[in-house]
Amino acid sequence: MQKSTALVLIALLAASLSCTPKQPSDQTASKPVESATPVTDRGTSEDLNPQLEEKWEAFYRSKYDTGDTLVVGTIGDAESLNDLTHVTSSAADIISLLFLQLTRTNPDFSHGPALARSWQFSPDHLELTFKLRDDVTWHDGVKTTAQDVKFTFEKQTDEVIAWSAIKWKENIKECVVVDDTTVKFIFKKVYPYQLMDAVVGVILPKHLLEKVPSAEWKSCEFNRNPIGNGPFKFKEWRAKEAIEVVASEKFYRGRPPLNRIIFKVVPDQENLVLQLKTGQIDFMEQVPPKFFEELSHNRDLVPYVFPSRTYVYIAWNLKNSLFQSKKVRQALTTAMDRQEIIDARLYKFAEICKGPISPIIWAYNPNLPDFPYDPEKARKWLAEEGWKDSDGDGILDKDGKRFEFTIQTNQGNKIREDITVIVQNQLKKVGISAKPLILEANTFFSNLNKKEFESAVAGWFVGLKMEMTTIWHSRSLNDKFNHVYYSNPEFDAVNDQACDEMDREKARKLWWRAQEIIVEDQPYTFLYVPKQINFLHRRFKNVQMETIGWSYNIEQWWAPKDQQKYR
Amino acid sequence: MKADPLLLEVEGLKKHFPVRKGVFGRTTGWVRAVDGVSFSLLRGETLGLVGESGCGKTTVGRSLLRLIEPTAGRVVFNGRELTALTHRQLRPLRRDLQVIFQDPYSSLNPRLTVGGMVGEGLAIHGVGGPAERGERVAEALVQVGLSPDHLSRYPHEFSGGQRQRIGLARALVLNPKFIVCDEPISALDVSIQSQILNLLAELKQACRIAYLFISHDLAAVEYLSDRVAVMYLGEIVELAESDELYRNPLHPYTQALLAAVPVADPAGRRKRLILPGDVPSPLNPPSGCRFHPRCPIAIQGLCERQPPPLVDRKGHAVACHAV
Amino acid sequence: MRTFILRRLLVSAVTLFGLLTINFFIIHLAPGGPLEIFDNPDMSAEVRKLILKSYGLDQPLPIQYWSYLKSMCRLEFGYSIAKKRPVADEILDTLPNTIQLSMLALSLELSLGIIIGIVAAVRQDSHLDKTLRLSSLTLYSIPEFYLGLLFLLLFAGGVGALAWLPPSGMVDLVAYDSMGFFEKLADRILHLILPCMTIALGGAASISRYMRGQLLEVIRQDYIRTARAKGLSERAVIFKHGLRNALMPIITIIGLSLPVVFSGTVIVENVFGWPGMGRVAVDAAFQRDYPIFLAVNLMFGALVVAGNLLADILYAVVDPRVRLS
Repeated sequence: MQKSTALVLIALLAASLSCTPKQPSDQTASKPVESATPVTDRGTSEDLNPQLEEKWEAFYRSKYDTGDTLVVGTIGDAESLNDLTHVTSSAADIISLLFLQLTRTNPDFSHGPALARSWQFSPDHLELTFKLRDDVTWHDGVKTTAQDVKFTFEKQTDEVIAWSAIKWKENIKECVVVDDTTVKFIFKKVYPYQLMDAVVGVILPKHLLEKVPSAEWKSCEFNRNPIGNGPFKFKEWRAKEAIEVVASEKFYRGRPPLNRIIFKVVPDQENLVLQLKTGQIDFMEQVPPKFFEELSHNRDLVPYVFPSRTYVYIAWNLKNSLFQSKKVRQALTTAMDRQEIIDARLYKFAEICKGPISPIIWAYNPNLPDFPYDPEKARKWLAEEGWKDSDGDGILDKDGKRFEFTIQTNQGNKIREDITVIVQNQLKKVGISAKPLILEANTFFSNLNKKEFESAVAGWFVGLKMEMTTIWHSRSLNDKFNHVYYSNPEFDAVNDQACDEMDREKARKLWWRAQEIIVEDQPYTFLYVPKQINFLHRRFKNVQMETIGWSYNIEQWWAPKDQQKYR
Repeated sequence: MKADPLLLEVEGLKKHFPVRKGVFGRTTGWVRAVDGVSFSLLRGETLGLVGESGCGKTTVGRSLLRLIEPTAGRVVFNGRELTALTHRQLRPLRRDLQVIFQDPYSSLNPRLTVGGMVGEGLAIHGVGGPAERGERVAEALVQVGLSPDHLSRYPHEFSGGQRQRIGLARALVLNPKFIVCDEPISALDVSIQSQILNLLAELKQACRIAYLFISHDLAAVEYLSDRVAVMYLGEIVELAESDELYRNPLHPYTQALLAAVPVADPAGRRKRLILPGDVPSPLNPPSGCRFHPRCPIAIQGLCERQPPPLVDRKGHAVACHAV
Repeated sequence: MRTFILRRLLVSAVTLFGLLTINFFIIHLAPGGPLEIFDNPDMSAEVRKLILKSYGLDQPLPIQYWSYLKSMCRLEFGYSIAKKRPVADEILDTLPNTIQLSMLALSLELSLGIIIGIVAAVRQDSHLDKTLRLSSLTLYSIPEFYLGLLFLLLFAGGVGALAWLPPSGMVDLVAYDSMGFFEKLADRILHLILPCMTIALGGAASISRYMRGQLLEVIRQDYIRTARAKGLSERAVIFKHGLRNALMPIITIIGLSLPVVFSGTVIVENVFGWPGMGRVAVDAAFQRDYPIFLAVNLMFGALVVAGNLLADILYAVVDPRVRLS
């Protein structure tokens, strides 16, 4: 449901901004992906997962009550409810309730029908044809047709509008309307993620937006007053206070059980947690681990805990002479007790991370080598590289240069600030001086993107696609996201081959190798994958908080009549 | 003179200020600013009260009007014991008891017009209707040498001397029987001082007002007063008719005080008398005669004892063992 | 009087010009930029350039400054980069809320401060006075965000899960639409209590100390003794002669309090989720949303300047000495 992006900087997990950037609003079931239905994103109608579809449909045959209001507490207000101009996950969560995509993305990455009843690739696999439903209408009564799909594609690829996920459409040549309920995407090449690329983004109403010049999209009326075709209808936006959506009576599946959903903006995290406790909000996403214990004793609340789609790392700037040796970088990782960080700062709500690919991705390599905590070994490796404490000041040196550097991170993220200090202490034990440097968030990310740092604690939000080019490929060396100047010809070759490999098993082997190369090189010290903690009031039933997003099946949540709290 | 009834009688007036120290403001001692002062005034009579600054003369003026609460003592005005009344009971009597202050700047409320200020007293005491009050205010202004045009002006538009006249008008408008003049001329230019002194003298003649004229200006006191009291460290040490006191000062302190005044005296009859030491702290005054540590004629073994009480209206009264 | 006001207006205009110039260069020269936080690898480099161009951010700084000045002359605030809407709309949405909160807080601060100050001065050195002085010193020293959290814990459900007062927002979102007029009014007042108190208490504490000092100073003046000597009752002495003079400098304090109150709203709006301009300012600063940052700061600047101007004029009106000079 959520428009998925490949990799996004996790700017701030903490609450210093009221608008948090695209942050993990999605989570995954704790089970490893391998044990679930194999991910098949080859893009034919057989890609439906019949079990999941059956489960989805079964709800509509079951007995449920309608009514009640869900109050969602969020740190940041949305900025635009127009899919093409929004930037935060707060906005994305609401957009996904108001608008339909062509398909619904399931927890196992399979696709279920939504606006499209079915889809079919051409024999040469360059054309993808969608058959649309004919019973979907916009909330103003106008029918949703293939014209809307084509219009949306044109706007998504309009550089003046500057959609933040514009790259997803770069391999689609054009979108053709066959008839009112049939639309066809023509691709430039055959590659594994064609279906995913075609369906990403919600469909927008042509009749309301065609008259808006591209340059005016960034501030048009529709951004604040959207008309969608999804299960919920936009009702009211009280700037910086709340956004209210109500059940759409005209929704093609019939109205969703909940009457209303109110997204209440509370910029202060402590206040948000307090309102969760007192029942003034029903749901809070990304509850900080320190509150878990207290909230789990609350009998009205149900915790939902799963690995998040982020990982936190320390980046070593390879342009810096200190970090140019692979052995030294391995020694740095070996000198760090990552479990101590997890135990002390995350209350055990995290797992040690070994490599750059999230376990939820099908190509994740479960057999990666690790560099477990061993200060003795770290000291030995450093000595082999010529780092010795020749002047007896407790800090290693080599050719007159001391092993000292700064370790940057952003202000407002208490956990990361603490990590810099813990790492400082741990590295001191092997004779390395790391000085924490806490910077205002925008300054820090600017430094990171300009590669002006020695080492840095940061995090990546992992997308749904298997993608390593942006961060690790030599092609990206001068682009901003290859923060550490990583370049390895062997990796480049394996990566390029894997990207175009249509055979899943062959591709998997290649991706596994690519991950091994990165881990061997240790351009990052991979720290941990945090767990996401969500709390929801217990009166809501049929809740599936899944990989794809906490609101994956929110249109099917319901509350029994006798437990309903609001009208 | 003896037949005249006393207008004001002050008996054993004391005012002790607490000295607080520390976080909790505990009282650690008492400043004996006024320590048993007695005197009396007849109708239309002026008593000058002189002494160095800090001797308690201003406190005498304020506490006898109960602008600050006296610690002990009796004040009887026109037969009524002021010190026995509540503040509320005292209020109607205030019409007859007025005061003018040293600083012509702080003594006038900057937010009130001259008319408002002078007329306020009349309003408080319910004198006449608005029209009559207006007339009386204008009259009072003329009486002190100002113009009725000044009614709607604010104090900051006037000079120091004019302000003092306004202060006087404000006191006079109520037809008081008694005015405490608390150093009314010491903040003024010398040329203005004589104008105000003359004005006070004229009013005294015209309205038979009694003054308690507090000043450290011995010449001004001599000019205006019928009788003069000399204060030292909270006590009156000498009290006599004005002429008598200036001609024949008995107390060594009075002698020293008068000797310090530069007067045109070609014959050099007065010896210059320099007192040794500083004025002792009223927090811890010397025992016996308070002046004895600095006294040129102190008699050892005697002056450490309290001198005999000073009796008013018995000729030239002086509190000294050596006289 | 007219020349006085005209002169002050001119000074205000120059102040605001200086303010907007300094703001402009500070935010543009700060490290980072409006795309830094929202940047993601799915956005192509070309698109990034186009975005910057569409906001005129590809121009050299002096040219940007010049066009900013020109647009200010036309009172055009431009478009917010992060909020995807005209800056004017964002301000119109939030400014009334901030004014509502800050003006109520200011009145509360003044009335509380003045009353407590009077009580403390009249009862000088009593136990009441000491208690008031000690508690005002304590309140004054507590940072607002901490006081806010304390109030949350005490009154909004932190302790014992008893929510006496609403912890955030302006209205009860779930029920507001179905309320009658008086219920709505009551609901709004309830929501104002905590944020208002949080802003006002610290200020009230300092005003009370100032007020006490002023009143004691005035009471020591001879004209107060004169008033007593005239036979005025103590109440009339304090209120007519004392208070009116002691209140004069407080008018100046109003002008000086404004920036403090506004900076208070910035913190309090975040703690209590009040949908005001302070939050817009904080977001804009962190996001380097230049157009909105500049507009909001200019707005706050204008409010402070206007407040001071008003205080000066008010002072001139009530103080005969200022009026005529």
